[in-house]
Amino acid sequence: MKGVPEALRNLRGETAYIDDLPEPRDLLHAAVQLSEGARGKILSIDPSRALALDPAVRVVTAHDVPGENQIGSAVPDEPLLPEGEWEYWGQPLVLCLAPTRQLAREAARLVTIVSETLRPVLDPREAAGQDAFVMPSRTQSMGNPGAAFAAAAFTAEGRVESGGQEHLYLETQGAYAERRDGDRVFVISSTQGTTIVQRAIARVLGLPQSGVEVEARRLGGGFGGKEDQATPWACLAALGAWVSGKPVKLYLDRATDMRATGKRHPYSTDFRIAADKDGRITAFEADYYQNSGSSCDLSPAIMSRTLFHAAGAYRIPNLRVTGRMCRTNLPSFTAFRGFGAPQGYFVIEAALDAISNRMGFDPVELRRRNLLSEGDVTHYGMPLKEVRAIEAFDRVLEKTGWKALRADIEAFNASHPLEKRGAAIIPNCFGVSFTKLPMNRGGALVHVHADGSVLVSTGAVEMGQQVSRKIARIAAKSLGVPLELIRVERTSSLTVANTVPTAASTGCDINGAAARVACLEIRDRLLAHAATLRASGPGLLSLEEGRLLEGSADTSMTWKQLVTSADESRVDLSAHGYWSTPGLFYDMKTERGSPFAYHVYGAALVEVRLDCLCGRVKVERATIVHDAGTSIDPVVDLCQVEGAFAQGLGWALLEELRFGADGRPMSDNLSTYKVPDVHFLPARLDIEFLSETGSPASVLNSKAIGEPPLIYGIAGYFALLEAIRAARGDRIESWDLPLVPEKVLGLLAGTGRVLGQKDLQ
Amino acid sequence: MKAAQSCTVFLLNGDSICTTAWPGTPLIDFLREEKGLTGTKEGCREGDCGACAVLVGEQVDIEGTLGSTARYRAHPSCLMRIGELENQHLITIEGLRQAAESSGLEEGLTPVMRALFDENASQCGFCSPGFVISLSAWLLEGSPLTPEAAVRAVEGNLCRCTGYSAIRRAAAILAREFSDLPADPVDRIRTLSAAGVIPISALRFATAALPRAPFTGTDTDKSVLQSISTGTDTKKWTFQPLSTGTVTEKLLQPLVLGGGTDLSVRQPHPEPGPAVFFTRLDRGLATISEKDGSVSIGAAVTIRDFFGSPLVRRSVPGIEAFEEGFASILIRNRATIAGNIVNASPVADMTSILLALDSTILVADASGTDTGRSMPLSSFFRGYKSIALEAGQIVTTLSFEALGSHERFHFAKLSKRERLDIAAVNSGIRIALEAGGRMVLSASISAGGVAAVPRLLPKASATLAGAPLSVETALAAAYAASAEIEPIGDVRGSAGYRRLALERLILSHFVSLFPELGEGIGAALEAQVGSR
Ligand SMILES: Cc1cc2nc3c(=O)[nH]c(=O)nc-3n(C[C@H](O)[C@H](O)[C@H](O)COP(=O)(O)OP(=O)(O)OC[C@H]3O[C@@H](n4cnc5c(N)ncnc54)[C@H](O)[C@@H]3O)c2cc1C
Ligand code: FES
Ligand code: FES
Repeated sequence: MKGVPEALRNLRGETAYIDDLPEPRDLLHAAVQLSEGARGKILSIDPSRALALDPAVRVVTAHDVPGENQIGSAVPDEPLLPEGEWEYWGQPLVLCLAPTRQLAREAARLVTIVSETLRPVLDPREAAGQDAFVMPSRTQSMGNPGAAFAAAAFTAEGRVESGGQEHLYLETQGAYAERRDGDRVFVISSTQGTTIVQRAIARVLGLPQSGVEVEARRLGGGFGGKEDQATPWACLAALGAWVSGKPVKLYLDRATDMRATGKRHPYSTDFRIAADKDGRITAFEADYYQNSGSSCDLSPAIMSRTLFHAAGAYRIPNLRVTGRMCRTNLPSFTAFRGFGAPQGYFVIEAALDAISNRMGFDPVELRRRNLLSEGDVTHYGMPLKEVRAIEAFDRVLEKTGWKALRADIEAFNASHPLEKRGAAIIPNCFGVSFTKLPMNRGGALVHVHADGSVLVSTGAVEMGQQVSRKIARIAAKSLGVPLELIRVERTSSLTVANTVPTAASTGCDINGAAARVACLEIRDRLLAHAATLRASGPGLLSLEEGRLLEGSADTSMTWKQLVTSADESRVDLSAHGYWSTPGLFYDMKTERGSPFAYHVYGAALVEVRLDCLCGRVKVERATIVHDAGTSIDPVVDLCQVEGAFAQGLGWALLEELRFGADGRPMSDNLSTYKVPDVHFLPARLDIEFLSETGSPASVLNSKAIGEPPLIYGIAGYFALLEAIRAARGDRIESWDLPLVPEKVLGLLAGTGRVLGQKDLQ
Repeated sequence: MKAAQSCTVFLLNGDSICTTAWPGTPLIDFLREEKGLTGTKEGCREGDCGACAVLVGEQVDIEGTLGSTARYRAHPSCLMRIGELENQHLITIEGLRQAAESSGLEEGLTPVMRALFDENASQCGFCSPGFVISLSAWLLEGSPLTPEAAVRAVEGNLCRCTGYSAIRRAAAILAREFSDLPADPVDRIRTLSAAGVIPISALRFATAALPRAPFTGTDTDKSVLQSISTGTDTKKWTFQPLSTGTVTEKLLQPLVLGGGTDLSVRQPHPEPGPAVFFTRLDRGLATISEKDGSVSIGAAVTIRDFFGSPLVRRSVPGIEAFEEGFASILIRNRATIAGNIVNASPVADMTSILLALDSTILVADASGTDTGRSMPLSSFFRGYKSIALEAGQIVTTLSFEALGSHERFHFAKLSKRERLDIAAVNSGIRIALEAGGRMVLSASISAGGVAAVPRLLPKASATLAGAPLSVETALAAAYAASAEIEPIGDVRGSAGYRRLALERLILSHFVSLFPELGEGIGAALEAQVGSR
């Protein structure tokens, strides 16, 4: 294996993230005061104590906003700084500027805010009871579920809870801003979307978008947390720079970041499922109560993905699913790798678990029997092509020797009273494209320099997913030059405008495709030029690895010579590429259409070992078979699967987001919110890619990789549930994710407990 | 000794530093803000992520001998203060980069960076410098280069991007590449600096005989370090170890700091000013010794050194197994025994271990030069975060009787994440059996996380005295324990969970110490499920 060049600087400690950039001498640091209460009303703000600290301190409030005090992109429900009510514990209320960070933080603490507390709503079902939604509810359906339930041989129902998840990008949120020439701003933001930030700043400062230059360098992780929610910090920094006329840096400490920013949405869901006597699922219904938090943010798009993935990788002829996006007084929950799909997946897998229990049917066999196959039509009316669900599932069975493994586990469990093993397999079918159709476009600007070196800029933000590497490969391949000639630049509103955030796993698909469009255009101009030089037809000429070929024969001309000659002949060596994903359509009224460019398939087995005495769990191994299409960079893809699986497993078994009964954040630092460490993850992790086939819908027949493998972590939940069942000798049902040790011990002991004395409180 | 603190003298990568900054200045701020060394990252400022890790070299005593040797370990710079670096060698990622460059290694990568690079173990890269430091420390430490040891070396480093698989692969490459490192610490440093893993200044530091006395900041100190940084010959020195007798002088100083793994977390941005007494710089406080079967642990002994001590391991057979449950290697390298106790956290692990060992705590006060007061550790805790220590007093020693041949010890904890997590509940047991091994003579059980203070469980312990070693006895002890506690719920566990967890931990003591009881205890659990 060989590394990705961008990583050289990381390892040498040279990569400069927001807080590592050289600081201008007149820099002001910014800090915010966060609300201490889940809901309240500001009665007055008195900055005097903060101002007394130092003459250089400046306190910025909502009144200082020159434009519109609003950053909500879908719905105007997010003031940058609240004027009246605040909506969650940890919401920024005022901004302070000072020459040192220490002073700025101290000043922020000293601003006196007189307020009145209001009663918060934290539970999504309670919010739904009060009709408090961020958007009207949405239902998708197919067939006749009512009739199917009436006719079913077996039915099961239940409630499923899944918790929120903190992104824990290692680089916290931050931005640097400068006011330039009096009437424009320059901002470096740790954002996944330069245009989102640009648009919001323009709105807040009352500037045209052209007066707001935004760039994103390498991010220290994003995972969705910097899709919409890098915006407030960039806007605050820009506001600070605007009012002070000085450069401003706002960089959050970990606790502020964890309190103030949104996370993966918690869901609470009721489901019903039906099957015939042969174990075929005939109907499924679900009511999802999404805890959307304090504002709309991306919640509707996330719910949309939940609904699209309601049936998981299964064929279910009769279905009705309804999503309710409930407004509560918690941080505004937001995008997180998977974007609503994992929540939907967990529910359908719980439903299959339930019905297999009801039927006394082997859960693995039941899952296999209901997998999607070629030509199946989804509940939103999209016919599926090149379906590989069964292929992947069977490959996992084969690789793990499932029958023998199951027998082995049973034998082990029979002879180990204090230890049990459990395993589960779940399939994957993940739709790729932004569920909001207009977002499925990418842009790129490519310059070929006269010396032959190539500079590629796109809308894709590099945050560790190594999209730059893939785009470089695409550009090299499209131009027919060696990879070393390609340099992929940071993302800037100066080079590519009207971008969409780097999200939904589409970063490479759309921006890589746009880069390819631009590269092909330049290549064609070069070949046309070469044709005039050689008096040959351009159709006969091609470029490969930096050499000009005529037919299959090498001409003596190199890439560099060709470029230099073309430049001298005044051939334009720059091009802008634009890509809009073809074939997508969706009718929101009928909830029918073809919203995805393609689907990604796969399956995973996870095996755990449980200490029945203390409830300790060790994930022993995982086997993943995944469909990456024709991988552009297999090393990058492998590492993406590993990383996504780790986050999925963390969500399923470890990461517990907690709020107090008053809405107070209780897991707001690394000591109270645990993410996977090196011990948590299995040393035995076996990942295999399905054989390559042509998936014409995407660039160079590759498939998106960022989010889909996160789903495999859910197998960990069901593996552990099986181990707990082995310990209990029954088929207890509990779908309450994450399945942390406290819950495990509770399930192991049940109400009886080993000593049978007092009930769990 | 003079408390002159005009200057803290240390070696930073290849340069000798003499800084007048407040000794309590957080090291991470000094590096990033004052020195512009931004390769060291801040991910949490509470010791939990490892992004800020740096290598620290110091001259340490070799237990049981009069000799000392150079030792490099990884530390989280966010919890460190610059004053504690006196006469030590600090290596940051920039120093490693220089090592690669001056060794002419390709692309300026040290072998550790190279392995991580080749396996694509750096995605967003924010965690990467920390991993490079921890894996370099792993090579420096002389622990076996097994996959398990590699995992342990990076257990204090969080990576949110890679899922660690690529990092494991990189460690495997390093293990192959450096399979025959010399055992002698100085030879190993020589080999590793020749290979460009660490800068040549490390070898110079390791071969110079440096004084360990803190706070001198004299010109002589400076010139030795300068000679290291310039590579000229060094003077040989004998050092003056500080004895506990000099403690009194320091008691006048307001801020007592061990590893800072509690204090720096509580004061992430300390107000500059007060003088700081770094207990770890005081040799008299950092020793482990034995007299007449009584083992004395100096207050400033780190968790790592406690579990690594041959004397401790001899005195409490099997105790080393419980090291890994405590925080991460980065924290264990710093956290001190006394810090764990004085912080008085109800879930402090070391405290629970020492309670079960029936330890005595020794407190010295400002009035005299004698060793001060001693009391059973269990009476040191008065109430939530309230301890029997007055202003101006410090803890100097913890002592306990070595286990007799008929005695056993066990410790267990439960936390959300198996490693690097604070306990929801912990428990230790010291148990004495009669000669035949069939009956319990006496036992001492401790528990953390079940009361406002870490405590002993006298009632549960009493049920064991004179009882036959049986499943019933174990169950009775667990039940008695549960009846004598009043836990409360918080983010680490509900009250009900804590009660249940303590019962189970006590059963696990028996299952682990007396495996023959395992089946019976298993059957008891199953019977319970069956009766449901
Ligand atoms: C990431 C992380 C993980 C952790 N995990 C664990 C864990 O698993 N188990 C656990 O038990 N703890 C854990 N801790 C807590 C902490 O590491 C321990 O309590 C540690 O032993 C504290 O020692 P210290 O020397 O660092 O204390 P310091 O922070 O230096 O000091 C703590 C207090 O003790 C005082 N003090 C120190 N030495 C003396 C002395 N000799 N005399 C008088 N007062 C003194 C200080 O003034 C201060 O008030 C963890 C901490 C972190 C940051
Ligand atoms: S910054 Fe996280 S351990 Fe120091
Ligand atoms: S590479 Fe991003 S946190 Fe490790």
